[in-house]
Amino acid sequence: MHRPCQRGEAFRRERRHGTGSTRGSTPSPVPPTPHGMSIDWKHDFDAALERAGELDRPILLDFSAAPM
Amino acid sequence: MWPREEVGQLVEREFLPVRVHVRDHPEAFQELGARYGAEWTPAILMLDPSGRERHRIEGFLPAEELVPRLEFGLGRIAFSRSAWADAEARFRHVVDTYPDAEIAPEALYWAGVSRYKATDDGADLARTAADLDARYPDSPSAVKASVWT
Repeated sequence: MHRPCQRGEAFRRERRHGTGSTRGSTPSPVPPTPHGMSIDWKHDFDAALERAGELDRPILLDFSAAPM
Repeated sequence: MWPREEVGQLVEREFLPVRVHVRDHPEAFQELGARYGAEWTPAILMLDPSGRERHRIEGFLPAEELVPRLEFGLGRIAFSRSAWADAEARFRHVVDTYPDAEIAPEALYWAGVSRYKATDDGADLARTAADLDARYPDSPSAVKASVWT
């Protein structure tokens, strides 16, 4: 039976299957994808939620443990 | 994580994108993870403008499956707002553009439901069941729709 995974464990698994380490890295405010497409990620959820209401725009909330 | 440009274009065009990273935003990750019950990464939640979750994707998907899933989520958001025509158009776009995607049968199901919501005509449900039976006969959505025939 599948055992629920703790977030830290999920992170370790993604790291193990990932392509690199985030150790010592500084997150970019606009992390590029490998092919250069950038997404203007917001990190303050409450501010984004307020803005989404003003703009009447849906939110894509990405929980990630992948190397940035 | 999202190597295809079309994913980024879709996200930028349709959503206000927010990322919380387990390592770089640990407090936000914990707080929002608890608020939305996100217990696994990657997890992508599509929220309506009030912050209510309407669709989620858990686990990695390649772009050819991720894009239709995101489009499907937009359909669910439109559906939740009773925007029946918009919802139907978005669901049908998934079926027409990505007919082999895993989500396509479910999109066809919800396209039929959206149409029915607009017309209140049971024939729309029957047509949807027939479409599902013809195009995706082995899908769970076809089973769900079989009651409409």
